[in-house]
Amino acid sequence: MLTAILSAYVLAPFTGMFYRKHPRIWGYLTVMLAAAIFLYLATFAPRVLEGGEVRFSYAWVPQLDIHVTFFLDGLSLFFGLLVSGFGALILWYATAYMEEAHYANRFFTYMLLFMASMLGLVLADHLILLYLFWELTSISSFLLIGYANREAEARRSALQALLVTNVGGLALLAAFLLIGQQWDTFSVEALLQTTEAAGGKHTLAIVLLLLLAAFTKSAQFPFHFWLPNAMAAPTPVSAYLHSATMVKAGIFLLFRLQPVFGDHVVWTWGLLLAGSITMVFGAVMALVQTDLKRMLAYLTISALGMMVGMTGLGTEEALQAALVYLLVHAFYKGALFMVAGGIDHQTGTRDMRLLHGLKQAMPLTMAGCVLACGSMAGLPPFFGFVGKEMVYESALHGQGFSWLLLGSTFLSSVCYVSLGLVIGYRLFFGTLTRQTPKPPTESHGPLWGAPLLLGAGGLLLGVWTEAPAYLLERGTQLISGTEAGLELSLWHGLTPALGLSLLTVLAGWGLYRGRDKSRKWLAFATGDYTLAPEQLYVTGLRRLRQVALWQTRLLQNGYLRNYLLVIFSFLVLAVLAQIIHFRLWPQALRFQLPVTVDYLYEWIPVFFMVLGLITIFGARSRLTILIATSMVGFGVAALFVFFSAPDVSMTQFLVETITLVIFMLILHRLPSHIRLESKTKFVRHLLVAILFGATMTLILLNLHGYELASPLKEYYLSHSEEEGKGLNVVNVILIDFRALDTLGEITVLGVTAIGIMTLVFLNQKK
Amino acid sequence: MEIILSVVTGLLFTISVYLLLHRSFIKMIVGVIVFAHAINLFLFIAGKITRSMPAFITEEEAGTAALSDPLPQAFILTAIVIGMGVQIFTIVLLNKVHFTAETDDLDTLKTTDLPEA
Repeated sequence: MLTAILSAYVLAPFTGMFYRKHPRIWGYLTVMLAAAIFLYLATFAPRVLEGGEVRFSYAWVPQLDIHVTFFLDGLSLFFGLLVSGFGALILWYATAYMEEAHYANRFFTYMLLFMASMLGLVLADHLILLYLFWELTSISSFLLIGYANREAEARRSALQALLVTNVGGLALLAAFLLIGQQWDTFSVEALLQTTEAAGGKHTLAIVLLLLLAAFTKSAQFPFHFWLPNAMAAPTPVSAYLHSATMVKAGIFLLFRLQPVFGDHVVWTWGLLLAGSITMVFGAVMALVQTDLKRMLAYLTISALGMMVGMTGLGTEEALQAALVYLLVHAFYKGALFMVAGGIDHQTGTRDMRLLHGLKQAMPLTMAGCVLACGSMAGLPPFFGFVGKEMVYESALHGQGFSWLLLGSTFLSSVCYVSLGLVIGYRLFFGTLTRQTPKPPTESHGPLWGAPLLLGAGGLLLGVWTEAPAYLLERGTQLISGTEAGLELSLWHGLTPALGLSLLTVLAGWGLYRGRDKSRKWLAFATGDYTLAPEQLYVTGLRRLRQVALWQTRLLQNGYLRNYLLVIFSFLVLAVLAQIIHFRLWPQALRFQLPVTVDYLYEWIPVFFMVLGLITIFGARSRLTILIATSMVGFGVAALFVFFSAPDVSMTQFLVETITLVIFMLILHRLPSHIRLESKTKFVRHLLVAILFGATMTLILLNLHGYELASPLKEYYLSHSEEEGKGLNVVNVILIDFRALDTLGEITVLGVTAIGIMTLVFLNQKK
Repeated sequence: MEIILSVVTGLLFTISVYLLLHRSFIKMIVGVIVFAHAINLFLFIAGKITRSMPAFITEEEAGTAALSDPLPQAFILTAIVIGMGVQIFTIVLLNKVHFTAETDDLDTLKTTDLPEA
């Protein structure tokens, strides 16, 4: 299993590198890989669809008990087959579609990356692994939308899709971490088997975060706006990611966790409301679009809303309907996108106002399109009819507020019928268009083959309903957590749902006839509104930029002194906060050396140091400052002598002298004028400085509250003679015990010397 | 005596931080130097100080407990030498900056670009 997923990741870069040399070979290689994965997954079908489960576990960090685990059950197998099967079909389509495109190699690389990530997403058992793949699909989607990277529109759309779905991604991570805390497991399988009711203290937060993740990924209102914009991607991408697979990841997440959270009131209501609104909104927006792909995108949003709403209804019947409709939708929407791509490819436009009467020119494309539209409109004997009937049935049988769902499914279904006529009839019948940039001609090979295959598939599944029933039964059981069987059939007898279907078709026909009038009514839908979600996104992004700019100007303003000021202030605050919090005031001081008159000489260096410091503080002459600095330095050296550190003192005297000499040599080349500070800066800096000094004093006084029993002191003093052959312990430490440190020190000095040399001999001035 | 020295160390820190924040080159250089002194003294005092008991091992073997701790001293010795490298480098560097950028104000050093000729 790991091989199957990794193989696509491995093939991806090679495709990128070698595609251009042999586009045909590498293109078909990707198709074959997807098909091979499909077949491989299909071999598990008998076992898994009977109710079995297959686990694949690979040790990753066994010490930390982290394993890469994939698991196949009815639901993940169905999604896996969907991803790989559609992958093969759409890659095949893309070999023709991308033939003349620039950077087609990149396209195939990204597609493979996406396919592998999506497979990982649906098969992952570990939640964090699932999250990882979830984000990878977002990233590959970003790359694919931004494929035409020279167009600002494509770049903008790609970024938008990435940002919106990543907000959901972060929410997903948070939700998974909370799940891990609450149930003490990250395994999907273990989570599904948990008998504990979902009543923990984090449950509400988890549900809200999961909804956010699913809604952003599956383009639910009000996060839908990225999907129509994502149509900037090449059409195979729209067909694959933005209708059949990636946008269904959110639905997959909902399905997967429905048994755990299905009873939560926020979950059901959230799904029901968002689903209903999205469904109607998407369908209505689709009515007013003129771009074929945007129209399809809004229809996709609407269909996703239908699945979400059905999941929210939560009855056994509704969940079955949701999964069945997912398959229905994948078939017809995949086909329609590919038809749109084919038409775009052959005529050079996707504008619905220019396209009509393509029957003679593109008969084979028409066949695929009409079949798909039949399924979309929910006409018998297409598979779409079966799905639509199930949706109606479950909405009719539902309790409480299911009338809301019934109403919205009816409304959107009417729109589907009307748009089915627009796309499936008006596009091809009537007088042949003469306004297209290229005269329409029939496309070749996969361009009509792939949609025709899917369209015919939609018809086949509608007639041979045993096949989808067999495929989906285990999946629906897993979603609803019951053992109910799934029965699909075209003919249910004379039921209310059938009547509703009939009414839908009639109303859809009416809407189609009166489409010019309805366009006028719906003109408001195309307006620009400041409170529209996309507008809010744009405004939000602009505000975020402004805040970032303001914050950068504040913190990273280029004034070096400000950085220092921030660092010192923060240090003071951090230390003082600790001292106050733990009440670390100096107490029980253990001073060893009393302040007595006997040692009056110790006061001499102290006196000179303080004098020097005061002088430095106030002085404005370079020379005075230099001398005062030396006073401080020699004072420190004298203190070392008095307090038993003759070696340190000697070094200090030497170093002080060298620094003095060098400073003196360069002094006349340094600026003579000493600038004054403004009053506010002076006060601010002095305040920070005093606080810092006081903090350091406080730390020192504090340290004297503790007995310092260093075992190292004892060790060095007793071993110095035997092992280091020396009596001066400080020296022995430097050249023997810690000789490597000294070596490092010498290196530092060497590097500094080189640096100084470079500076001195560097002649930048022309 | 430690209490006096602790206060003096605090004063060293105060002045050096003030100088480091100064816009004038010379004051900033001196700030770097004084800061090194302050840190060294800080380490020295934190490691407990003793009078007239350097860490020399004598013939008498009078017991080592009374001797001063050699370890902080070794640290400080290293620090002093490294500090010297840093100080001299700073002096030379600022000299070069003054020469190249023709400024004596740290606040004008905001960009990597040279001033217009």
